Amino acid sequence: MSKIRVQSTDFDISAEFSALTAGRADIGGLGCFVGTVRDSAKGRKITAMTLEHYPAMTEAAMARIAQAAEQRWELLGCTLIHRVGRLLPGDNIVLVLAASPHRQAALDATGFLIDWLKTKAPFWKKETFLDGAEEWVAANEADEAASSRWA
Amino acid sequence: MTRLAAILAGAAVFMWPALVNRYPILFSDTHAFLIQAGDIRMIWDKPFAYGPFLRLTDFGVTLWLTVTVQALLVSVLLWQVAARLSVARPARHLLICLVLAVGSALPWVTDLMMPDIFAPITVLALFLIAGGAGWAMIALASFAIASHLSHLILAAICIAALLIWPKRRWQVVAPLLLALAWIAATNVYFIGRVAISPYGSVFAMARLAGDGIVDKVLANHCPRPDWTLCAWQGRLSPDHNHVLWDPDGPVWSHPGGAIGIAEEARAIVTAAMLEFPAAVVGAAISNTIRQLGRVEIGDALIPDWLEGGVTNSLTQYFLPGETERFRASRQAHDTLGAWQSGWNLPHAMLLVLGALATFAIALRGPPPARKLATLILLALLANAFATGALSGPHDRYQARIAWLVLLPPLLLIRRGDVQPDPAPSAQSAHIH
Repeated sequence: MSKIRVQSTDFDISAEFSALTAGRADIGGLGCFVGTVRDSAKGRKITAMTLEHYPAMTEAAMARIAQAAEQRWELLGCTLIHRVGRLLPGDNIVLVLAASPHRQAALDATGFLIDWLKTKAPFWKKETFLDGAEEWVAANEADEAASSRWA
Repeated sequence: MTRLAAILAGAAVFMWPALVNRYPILFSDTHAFLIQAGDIRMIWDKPFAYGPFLRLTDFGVTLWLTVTVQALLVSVLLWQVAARLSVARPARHLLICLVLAVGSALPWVTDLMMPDIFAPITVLALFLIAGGAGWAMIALASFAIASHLSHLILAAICIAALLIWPKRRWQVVAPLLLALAWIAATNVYFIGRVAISPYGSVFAMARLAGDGIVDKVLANHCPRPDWTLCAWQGRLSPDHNHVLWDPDGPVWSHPGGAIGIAEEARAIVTAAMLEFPAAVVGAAISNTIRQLGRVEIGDALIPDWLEGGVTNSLTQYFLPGETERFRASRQAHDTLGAWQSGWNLPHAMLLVLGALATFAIALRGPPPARKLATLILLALLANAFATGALSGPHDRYQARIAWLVLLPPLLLIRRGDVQPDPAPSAQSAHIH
């Protein structure tokens, strides 16, 4: 029921929306989250963000997250697409869609999915700053706190 | 029976495990190789070679085409080796293929969608190049070497041995140089720097951690603010797989994962070699010996990590229906391993007999067969070192190549009059 994809190319939000809802009249609400590359971090200008992952294990972790969402809410389908590779400020990084008969379930599931994706899926992010310096992004407390509210 | 018919029939018998499985055999890393070419991107621990090979041979249609190509390559090479020993006959070729198909892990390795089959292909191709094979074989050997980083060490040791025989030295060295050039060039393209194994230190560090040596290094150096592994002192798992792949382990929990920890791993491996050389050498010898004895193919037949990984690739990069064909396979239902396990004991017994016979041929066989037998025995050791000592012993690593010990005796059965080594051609004589 869930669509999991890790890819270097951009995603088409409209096409993914259509693919999830095509032929369905039982969906009452669809939650959507799109994460994009911000152009600054810790007060410094960012010129690029590079995302790495490990094939198979990353998708398996994403599938487990989707499965957890399906167990918690009445979902009729969800889509998780995460991009990897070198991305520029403004580029899309991640798409989360969650379809449910009810809006609250769709919205809550969307929040849960992105919070857990941020903390439980093995992606490694490296920021490149304006001066050429590069830094791996460590897990931050805000992400952990957001994730733990679903515990 | 003609030569072509024998080669085709030989290839067909090597495909029996895929036919029984109802699909080529997949491994979790098959997914990485498929996206490597499908998405045109570097996977941190894999040279950019086998992925494009998959793409070029499956045509985006089905992996059945790739398994056919791999089986044909093996059959052709076996014919060429027999021809080099002047024993190539259609009936004999088919018999050899049948014995290897039933009595060894070769068909399982052939039908596995991984670069494993290119380890023995490396050995046989180098033997043929030393014996006079031309640029097509050099191209095949170059690709085979580039398809997996462990093949670089395997090839380097085999080439060092072949250089003892003063013929065709440049041709024998050429595949390794071409493979190195390809790997370096693709690394420049994808990661922006000249490197052969940019993150290989992570595997070596995990291996040394499993051997207990990393803890000794940490005891000498920690606390150090630039070493994240100091936080793991005294609690590293003795299982190198956990060190490498555990989501809560030191590699994955590093902010940069395996790539981010590579530089630190390189420093730790260097420190280990400088400060504990005897322990490092001892562990390498121990792991090489352990690897030599691990020859079962079984750990490559399980369905772990395939659903949601490789099934995504099959859906994304192939014509409709490919994912369903895989899902109908025995492997997808986790029944292939049980089906295969009954073959392990007879295979192991034959390998022991084959190793003894190959050793005898290396000592007292006719010249070309003696070279082949010596090269194979050396290749077995080189492969065990390149995998067991530098990464960690796994059944699959030695299963891919151990079957080679059956080849020299099979080629010499009922054949006492193998022709002596032919004189070098005019061209090769000029070269050296």
